[in-house]
Amino acid sequence: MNRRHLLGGVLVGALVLFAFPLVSPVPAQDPAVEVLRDPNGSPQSHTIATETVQYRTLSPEAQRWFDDLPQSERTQAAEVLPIDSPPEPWASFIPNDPETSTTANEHPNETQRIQSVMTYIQVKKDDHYHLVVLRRIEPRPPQQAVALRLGSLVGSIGLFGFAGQQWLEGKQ
Amino acid sequence: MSTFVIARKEFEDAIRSRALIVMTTLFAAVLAMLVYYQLYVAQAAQMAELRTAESVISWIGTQMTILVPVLGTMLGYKAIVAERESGSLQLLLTLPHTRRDVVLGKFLGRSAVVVVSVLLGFALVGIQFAASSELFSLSVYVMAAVKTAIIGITFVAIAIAFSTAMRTSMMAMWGAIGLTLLFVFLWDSVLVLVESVVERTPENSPVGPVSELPDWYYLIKRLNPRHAFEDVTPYSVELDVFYLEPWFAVVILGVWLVVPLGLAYLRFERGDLA
Repeated sequence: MNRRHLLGGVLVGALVLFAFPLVSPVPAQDPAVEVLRDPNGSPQSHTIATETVQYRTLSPEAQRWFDDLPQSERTQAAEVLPIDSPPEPWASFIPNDPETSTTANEHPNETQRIQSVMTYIQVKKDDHYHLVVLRRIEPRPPQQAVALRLGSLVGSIGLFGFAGQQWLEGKQ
Repeated sequence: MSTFVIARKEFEDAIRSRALIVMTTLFAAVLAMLVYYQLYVAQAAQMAELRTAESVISWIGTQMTILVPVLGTMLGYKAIVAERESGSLQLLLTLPHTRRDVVLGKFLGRSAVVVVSVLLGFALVGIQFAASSELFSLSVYVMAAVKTAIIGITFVAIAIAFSTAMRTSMMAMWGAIGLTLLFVFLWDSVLVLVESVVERTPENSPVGPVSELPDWYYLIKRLNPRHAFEDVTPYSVELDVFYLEPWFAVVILGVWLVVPLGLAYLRFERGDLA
């Protein structure tokens, strides 16, 4: 096999590996909603809440959904649910996708951006206000899929490097 | 003209010795890993919506300024001193080249290797980045590539300065690598020391005992070529001093490019090669 054939073969291999992540990108994950309920109801209304919901006016399904929420202050204990799983009115409280939602401010600052992906709702139950935080999230893609495509890209870089060296040495 | 002859020879030597390919491949591979890390692994997925092209590319650029100084230094520290030790420098100077041609030619040739490696790496990975994420912004990405290349050139200049001024490879290596280690890994520790000396609490502060740093502290922070392009002040601090303006990065890097190389050249010009 002469240098030209070797160069051609390596280049084809590099191009195939390089094209793989482009043709088959890391699969996008469906957005989800992370929900966290304040464990300690407060007799005072929360100023951060944008909406107040009366527990007794909720449908039985919405009441059950609220009662089943994890009650912890730790973020790790928050529950991640499919975005279409919460019943109404909870579904309507999930923040919109910031990419698609139209806002008056085209260049929001950090605080506005954080607020755009989180909603604070309080539920009044037994004269206590319970804060519920809903956060729109984008779940992490499967790490195997990421590693496969990264490996392919790094492999293609190595082969491009080898082909480049062969070509430059041939030119000299 | 002579300068460019030497620069071209340096570039061709880098091809022959595989330094160009090794650097380009290493740079592109690390960049690819950082891009994938940032897009799919790094930040808590929950914060994905909060990321912007600027924040993602800026983070990647900052990480690359750890690798590029090391590569630039490795490429530059033996450039002249090795030839001095082997005696080939004297042979080179019997040709119609001046010492200035040698220093400038070596600097330009090796800087070209860094620039080609950085730009090729950014271009190759940029295709993947652009195709796989909405966080890609061409203008921000190109700017990050240019800044990385400039930082790489700066460290080549520093390394070549040591190579020009020192008589042995060992001394050049200790000098160049020592300074690079200082800038890449130890600068923050130096700043902590400075901070502990100069930090003060303003009298009658309306918000209680908060500490305040003098303006020039941020200049020291920015004097590190790695941080020259960065906004070094915290969010809570707003200073209106000329040396924290974006344009001052050109001055800082200009000084790092010219002063060490200039001083080394003066020593080299007057010194005995034997």
